[in-house]
Amino acid sequence: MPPRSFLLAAIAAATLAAAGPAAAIEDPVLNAAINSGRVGEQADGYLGVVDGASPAADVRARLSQVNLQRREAYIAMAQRTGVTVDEFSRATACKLLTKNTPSGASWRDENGSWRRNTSGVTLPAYCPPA
Amino acid sequence: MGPTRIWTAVAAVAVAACAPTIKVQAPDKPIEINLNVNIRQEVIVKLEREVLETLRQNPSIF
Repeated sequence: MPPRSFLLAAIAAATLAAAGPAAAIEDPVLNAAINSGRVGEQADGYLGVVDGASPAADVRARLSQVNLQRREAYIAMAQRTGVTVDEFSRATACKLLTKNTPSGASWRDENGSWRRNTSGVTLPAYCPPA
Repeated sequence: MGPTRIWTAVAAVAVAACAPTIKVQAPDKPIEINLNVNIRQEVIVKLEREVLETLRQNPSIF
């Protein structure tokens, strides 16, 4: 690799590392479903099907799979930190709601209502300021 | 807080601003103090580091 492209690659890598958590879920199927407003993050820390949407079978299957894996992670972390599973999953949602709800996508608030992100996501009152 | 409650509060302030005398009146509903909200917020703030760690370790599901 010539020195110049190596330098550019290094700058690109450093920029990505500095950006912190990725801006979206790293699953192409779910990412597309979120961007098209069929699936969204919920205040309980799980993904859900947006009211009135009918995602394809592969999207539903992947959603269930991811929610099961999330539940496993929440159980393990709740045990480690000495809180309830609900507390840990809701604490995680405080980050996920912003991270995985791009403009135009929908999220489900703590009262169970699906809301569309038109001017930012309103986090539940118990979340620390983003 | 729902829109109705916000408008109720706005209306109450507007009425209070116009009233020449101060009336002390007991609210017709009991005042509710929800302790759960405060406890939960404290717990959630405390978990921030572990939450970020969880997200970093499982990028395909978060």
